This record gives sequence, structure tokens and C-alpha cells, in this order.
Amino acid sequence: MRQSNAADPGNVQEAKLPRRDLIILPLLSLLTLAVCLLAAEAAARYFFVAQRDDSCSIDDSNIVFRYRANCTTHGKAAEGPWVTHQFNDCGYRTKESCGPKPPGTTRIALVGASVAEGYLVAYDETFAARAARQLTLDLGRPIEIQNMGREQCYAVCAFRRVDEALALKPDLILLAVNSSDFEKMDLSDVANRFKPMQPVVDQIELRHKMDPRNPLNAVQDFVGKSRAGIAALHFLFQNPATYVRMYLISGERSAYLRRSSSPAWEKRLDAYDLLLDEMAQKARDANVPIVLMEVPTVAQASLVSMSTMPPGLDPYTLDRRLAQITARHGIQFIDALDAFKQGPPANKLFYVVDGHLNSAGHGVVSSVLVAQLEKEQSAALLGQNEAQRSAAPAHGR
Amino acid sequence: MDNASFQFVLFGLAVALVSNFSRSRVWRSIVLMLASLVFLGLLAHNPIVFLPLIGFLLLGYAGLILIEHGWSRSMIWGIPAVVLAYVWLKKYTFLPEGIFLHFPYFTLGLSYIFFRVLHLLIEARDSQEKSHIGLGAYLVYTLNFTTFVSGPIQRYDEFARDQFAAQPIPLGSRAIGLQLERIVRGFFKVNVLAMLFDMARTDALAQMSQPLPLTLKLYAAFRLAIVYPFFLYSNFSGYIDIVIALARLMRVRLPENFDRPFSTSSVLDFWNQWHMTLSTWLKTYVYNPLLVTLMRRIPSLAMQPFLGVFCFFVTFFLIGVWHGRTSEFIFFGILTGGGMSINKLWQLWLAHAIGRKGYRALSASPVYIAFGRGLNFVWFGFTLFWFWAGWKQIDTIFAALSFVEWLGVWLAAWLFATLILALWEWVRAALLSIKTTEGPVLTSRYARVVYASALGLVAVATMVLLNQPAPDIVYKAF
Repeated sequence: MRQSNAADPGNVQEAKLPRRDLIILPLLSLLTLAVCLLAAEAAARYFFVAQRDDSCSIDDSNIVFRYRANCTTHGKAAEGPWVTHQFNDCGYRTKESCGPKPPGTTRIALVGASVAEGYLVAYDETFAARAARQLTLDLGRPIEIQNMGREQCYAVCAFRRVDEALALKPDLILLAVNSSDFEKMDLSDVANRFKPMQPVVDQIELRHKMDPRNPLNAVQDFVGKSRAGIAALHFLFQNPATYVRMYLISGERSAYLRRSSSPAWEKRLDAYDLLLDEMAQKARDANVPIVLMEVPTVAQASLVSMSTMPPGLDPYTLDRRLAQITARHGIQFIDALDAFKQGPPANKLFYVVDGHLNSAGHGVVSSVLVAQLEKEQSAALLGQNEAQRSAAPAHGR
Repeated sequence: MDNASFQFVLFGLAVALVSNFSRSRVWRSIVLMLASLVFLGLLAHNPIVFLPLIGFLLLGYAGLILIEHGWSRSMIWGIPAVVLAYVWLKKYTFLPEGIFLHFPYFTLGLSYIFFRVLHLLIEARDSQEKSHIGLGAYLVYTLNFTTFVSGPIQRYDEFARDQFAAQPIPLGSRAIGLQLERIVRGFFKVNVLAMLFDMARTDALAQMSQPLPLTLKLYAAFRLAIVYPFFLYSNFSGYIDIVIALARLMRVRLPENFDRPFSTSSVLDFWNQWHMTLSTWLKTYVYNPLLVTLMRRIPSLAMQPFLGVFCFFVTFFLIGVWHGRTSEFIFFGILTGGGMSINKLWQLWLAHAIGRKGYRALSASPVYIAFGRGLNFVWFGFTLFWFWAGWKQIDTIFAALSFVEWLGVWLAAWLFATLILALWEWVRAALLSIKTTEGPVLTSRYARVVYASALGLVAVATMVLLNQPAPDIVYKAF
């Protein structure tokens, strides 16, 4: 491109634009914009297909909704492959039945939200399925993980499922959390944790209900659902530094990445301390150890692999707090963040716009989980009861 | 405001609008002066930080006044004093740390002011006609916000011709349309293209230090070799597009700084089309006087071509050194000057070996041009390692592969650049050959409106999606 004002000598009287051009040129510009927007959206919808199928979700008085037993759905994240979600006879994402535990088998009940469920990742590639396979191989006895993970089942929901988990007669309960468990925590839900759970309000439905005639609703819906926007972000977020910069703009949401988190986050963590105390008590009564694993977010994984840390940030702030809380309740804490320091960058381990781990990310988490469980919970994994465990040497619990 | 942000563009457009309220040169100069002061005020809020810059400007003006009053001999120390003051204020690392000012002060734009001040002093000394430059005109010229951050380096006579003209150059709807299109194009280059190239470089750089299979490492090295020249071009030329267009809207024509540099097939031609105002300045004030002086001292005709080679080395070594204060830039200067000299020696040898006629025929061969273009590109990319990385980082990068592997990477980069740039030239020529009676369709106002709208949309969408400050202009650091 020759960058010059060759067509603009400046010192001669220029020819005037034809009058028709004063109408044609702005119209041409508008037409170009419209064509570009539509073409971008069409292309993005073709290349970034996304589909969610809620047909396996059924209402539940305790946790609002759960998955229907023996149900199968197919879904796809815009950034990921088509995935089949198959649920067993209890509506858990596990191949094995949730019925009585077969003799000689070790059972782990996994509780958590989408990160535990392995949302939009093929079953065999979820960290639960991978860990079960690896533990079976390493320990020489069948290990099954009943994956109770359910989309949006955050901290309070997980609390409500402890009895259900214990009813499976597990040898170990594994709680998988990430920052969403605390970010989405409503303190009134914690206070009302023994009352029926209120359904989550759909913000889009609410907006339509409050202002049904507002034409902007349609525009906002279109922009919110724009696949072109997702595609653009997908490419822009391939650079972890860009992702972190943008994530930090979200303010309170990203406070757990600051060296000292905000008062709101501290309140939520205090509330979680309370929930975990009651969960630990129940598990102790049932003679079942609990392990809590924190799965990193894209932002934490991006930060931890950066050669220089931006000032004021610390991806380990949440990890340290969770380690303190779990230590108080005699719960083993597994921090998966260190494993994201080496190896592929965060953009290769997550669906960067969606925020969930992809198959490779689940692989990383699975390795940490297996190593830590084998190190600290070998007795429970070998099916020893509390008395047998007490007789064996203690491992850092 | 010191980058190609929305705010800078809106500020420039607002100043252009106010400037056009009157055609009077006094009005336009007052508007430009006030806008430049506001611009500086937006960049730094504490007046103290401007004191060294003010001192530097006053030193230059004092020199000018002395020359105007017939004290031309004072320039024997005047010009070195300005150079020393510049080197001191820029804290060149070869000077002892203890002599520097130990408070934070404003140095942005100092490099470009330095060229303008030196140019004024040299011209005032050498000019037969002594003309007075008032303090106001001097400040409007040196502080002009459109050229303050990263140039282009405009000569005073060209600036004065437009800025102080009784009849300013016309600005009709056609010219306005061209400038708006150029602003959009520049904005797109800086905020989208340069950002994408920078992301690719960051990604490749990260992969170089990871334990990856050799093929992936070779691919990362290949990307590292070819991406930075494209990034630098998009970043710098995009900003220059914006400021040239803003100045034109204020009825001032700034000189062009780029003329399709990657279309050139030799290092010598490249520097005639890359950062043109800098190379022109140095050719005028370093290369030509040095060559004339040497030719007077060494009158041998046989030596003349080699004196040219030496002068090229000195001039382009200085270009390299000007870019930074550390030893990396000295090496960058050696490579840049060395490249120019070797290119000139190659031309001399080739003309000698195959004769002038044969050399001309070879130079016109499309294959020779294409390979020359590719070689020039990768050479530039290679030298730029000392431009964007420190010694430690360069060591790490080069240690990631063996010498033979690097050789393979550079050969692949050469071949790739040769093919891609040749393809680009061919596509461009083919597109420009589609013509109507008014000229090529691609440069018609209708085509410009279409692609400016599309590029503007992409740039705005990117800015909104990213919601982050506009990327810095690399050349503002110099």
C-alpha cells in the first residue's frame, strides 16, 4: 500500500465531489457495515457451532434440578467438539451403576459443578474418568468415581448433596471447586441452606418480563448470543496476557487474583468455611474422608505460567485461603494450580471464552489428582476402614 | 493520548475542526500551539517534569538566535552542545550514571525534537539568506502534537510553507474523505494488525522456552523470524497514517515516512522507503557532508565507491544507535550499517564481474528482484532481534536451537518471504490494473469507503471486545 496523499496535491483547487456521492457514499458505508456484520455472524455460526441440550434436566426439590437417570444428551461448546453426556441409573455422569458397591471396589463420590461434571468434554477424557482408570491401574483394584457433578451446582448446592453422596457408601468424597463456587455464592443461600433451594433467576427472562415492549431487548439478545463475538474473543484470548488484562477489568469477579482479596470474597470464604465444617462433620460421622480439590480458572492458569507477574496480582491467593480452611477441618486439600506452571499455555488447556477446561486441561488435573490421592489417601483407596486407617501411619492429614 | 487511541484521534479531529474555523495563519497557529500544550498537559500533569525539555528547547533557540546575529562560529560548540545535552537527557548508558538528573522528567518526543532543532541550527548556519524564526514559530514547529511522539521528521521550511501560509492549502470534501479513510486505515493497522502480529510473536517466544518437539520449536522460531517486521510496520506506519491525515485536516502536509518498504529488493532501497524522514535527515546531514569531506581529503577516483560504502556504514550505524541507549542498539547499528555496506559492495562487485549492462539486466529480472526482496526482509527481521530483545533474551532464543537448525529457519524464512511478497506484489498489480476512466477501481472513493467501513468496524469491534488501552507506538520510546 503506497501511503501517500498522491490524490491530494493540496496546493491545487480540487474537483468537487458529485452531489449524488454525498448520498451514495454514506449508504455504501452503511451497506458495507451490514454485510460485514451478517457475514461475520454467518461464518461464526458455521465454524463455531454451539448447542446446549437441557432435555436430561429434571426438577429437584433439594438442588433445583438434577439429571434424569439413564438419559443421554449431546452438546457442543462453540470452541470444542461434539460431546455425549450419558447419565447412569442415578443421573450421574458415570458408566458404572450407582447401585450397591461391588465387593473389592473402591468408590469415590465426586461432588461439584460443571468443572467436576466435565462439562463439554467427552466422558473418557474427564479428569474423573481418567483418574478412575489410572488409580485402578496403579492400585491393582477397581476404583470407580461416581461423578455427581452437575452444571451450576456451586458451594451451597454441593453442601446439599453430601447426604446423597454418603448414601452411595463411598470410600472417599471428592469435592471439586473453582472460583465460580465462591463468585456465584449468595450469602442468603448459605443462611437458608436447610430450606428448599430457590431456582436461579434467568436474567434474560427477567429482563423481558420487566420490560416486555422494549425493542432493545431483541438487540441485546442478539449481541449476547452473537457467535461472531465468541469467535472474535476466542482468537483474541489465545494470548494469555490479553485474557488476563481483560479478565481483570471485571473488577470484583477477579478479586481472588489480587494479593489480598476483597471483603466480599472474604465473607464468601467465611461462609464456605461454615459449610465445609458441617460437611466434614457429616463425613466424619459416616467414617468417610473428604478431599477438596481446587481446579484453576483460565486467569489463574495464565498468570501462573507468566514469566513476570503483573504488580498486585497473585494467582495463589484463593488456594492459600482454601488450604487454611481445609486444614482446620482435617480435609486434604489438593491444589492443581502448580501443574499449570509448566507445559502448554492456558489457551491450550481451556475453552478460553467459555472458561471450562478442555480435554488437555482435564488431563493435567487428573495427573495431579491421582498423584495426590495415591500419596495421601492410599488407605482409603485400598478400602481400609477408619480403624484400619488409624493403625496405619498418618499422612499429612 | 501518546498512542493511536480513540482519544488521540478524537482530540486530533477536534483540533482540526477548531483550526478550520478561520483560515488566518495566526488563528491556525494559536490553535496548534494551544492544542500542543494541552496535549503535553494530558501526558504529564506535573510541570516540573517538563523543565529539562524546556531547557533543551531554549538551548536550541539560543543557538538559533546567536546564528541569526552573525555568531555562526558559535556553532562550533553549539551543535555538539545540543548533541551532548540530548545524549545526557536520554541517559545513554555509556555515560557515567552519576552525571544524570536524578528526578523523573519528560523525555517523550525528545528524539524527534532533537532532529528538528539540529536541522534548524545547521540550516541557519549554512543558509545564505538569514531569516528570523520567532520563538512562537519555533515552539509551534518543535512541539507540534501531530509530529511530537514519533515524527515524521518534518523540515522547518515545509512546515512553515503550509502552517504560516497566507492562503492555506484547500481542504474540500474529497480531501477530507481521503484523510478520514487514512485515519481508519492507520487505526486498523495499529490496533488490529499490529496487535495480532504481536500476539503471534509473544506466542512464538513463549514456545521457544518450552520443552516442545523440535518441529514445533522450528515452527516457533520461523514465526519469530518473520513476524516482527510486519508488526513494526503496522504499528509505526499505522500511527504515521493517523498523524499525517490529522495534520492534513489542519491544512499541513507532513512528509511521508513509508513507501511500501517490503516491496524493495535491496537493503539500500529499503532504507529509502522505511522511516524515510529519518534516513533522509541522516543522508542530508551526515552522509552527504561526510562523503564530500572524505572525497576532498582522498581525491582518488578508484577509492570513491569505497568512500561511499564507508559513509553508508557510518550513517546507518548512527540510525541504529539512535534507536536506543544500550549496547544492543550499537550492535543493531553495526548490523544495519554493515548490511548497507555489504549491499553496496555486492553491487560494485557484481557490476565489475558481469559488467554494467549485465548488472542492469540482472537487476531487472523478476526472479532476482523476488529473491532480493525476500533476503532484504529476513535480513531486516534478523537485525530487529537486537531492536526488540535484550542480550539475555537473545541468548535464550538462539540457544533454543542449534546453529544448523537456525540456518534452516532463516533459509525457510527467506523462501517464504520471497514467495509471499512476490505473491502480494502480483495480486496488488492485478487489482490495480482493474480500471475505469477515473483510475484504478481499488483506489476509487467508492472502494475506499467500502474498505474503510469494513476496517473501521473490525477495529472498533476489536477495541470494544478487548476493552483495553491502545497498544503503544514502538517508536515513541526512541
